[in-house]
Amino acid sequence: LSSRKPPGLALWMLQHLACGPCTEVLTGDLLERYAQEQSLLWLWRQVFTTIVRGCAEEALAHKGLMVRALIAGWGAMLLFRGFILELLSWDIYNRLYPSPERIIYQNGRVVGYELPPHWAFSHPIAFRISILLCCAIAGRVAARVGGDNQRVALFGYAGSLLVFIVIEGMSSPIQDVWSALTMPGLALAVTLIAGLLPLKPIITHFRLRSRVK
Amino acid sequence: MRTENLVSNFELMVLLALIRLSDGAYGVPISREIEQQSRRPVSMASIYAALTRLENKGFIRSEMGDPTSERGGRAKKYFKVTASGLREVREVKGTLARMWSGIPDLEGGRG
Repeated sequence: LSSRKPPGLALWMLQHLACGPCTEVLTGDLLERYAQEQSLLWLWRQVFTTIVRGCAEEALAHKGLMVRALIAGWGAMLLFRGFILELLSWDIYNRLYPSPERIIYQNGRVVGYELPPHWAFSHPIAFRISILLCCAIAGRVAARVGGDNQRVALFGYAGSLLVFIVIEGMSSPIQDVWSALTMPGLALAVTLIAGLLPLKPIITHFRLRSRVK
Repeated sequence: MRTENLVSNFELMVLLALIRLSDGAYGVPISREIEQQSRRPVSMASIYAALTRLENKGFIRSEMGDPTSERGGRAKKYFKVTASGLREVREVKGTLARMWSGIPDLEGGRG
């Protein structure tokens, strides 16, 4: 028998992205066939099929969970998007240190400040970061709703986000391909990373480190 | 009419592969058997999806084997056809034979 080792990334993807009750056994079967007779191309094809098919099967098997994940994910997205954009529009600096021409007086008393509308929209980077932050929060919320099936819930929500991005992309004119792909790609990546990231071990690690110090 | 437990074409292929392999049927030999007989590649994921469905329907049962180093320390899952699974295969065969017999164009290897 050959003792070919599979690519580490393929193994990582199977361990962290594949869903379903038979994932461990299936991974073992893939490794066995790859070591014995199959090509690298075959392995990669099987890895992608396993991830996509496994998650689709699990999503269909947990319809109630899917509905909850979609409601939670999109609810969090809309809520935080509104909240964060409102916060950015608030223009904190100008509130704290308002220029004299922006101060609104009434009967000699300061009653408010004129603020530029949609401050965030006039700052593209701030706007994009705020959207990515919303994606991260929504991804985390959708995954948490899943309980024992966090990946299924997250992938269901991420799938709906992908559908939304594709529909929105098709309905708006593309000026250049790079910028048309960057933001949606980042949004999806941030959603998945935030949902998959095991926060508890990271928090425990930093707590232990601070105690040692 | 019974519809919830009907086996699909692919599920039937998996059932037949299990019967052909009898003992020691797990993912790797099942996929090899189906690929050899159907002469086309199949994905492991679709085989496991079919196996899970068949197990839920009570047509097969499974048991875990020991982990091996070749599989990165992962165990094999062995599958066996149950009595109701065998009955289902016979029923499907009978149904297909009856359906076939009425179509002269498909008889005798033509068409």
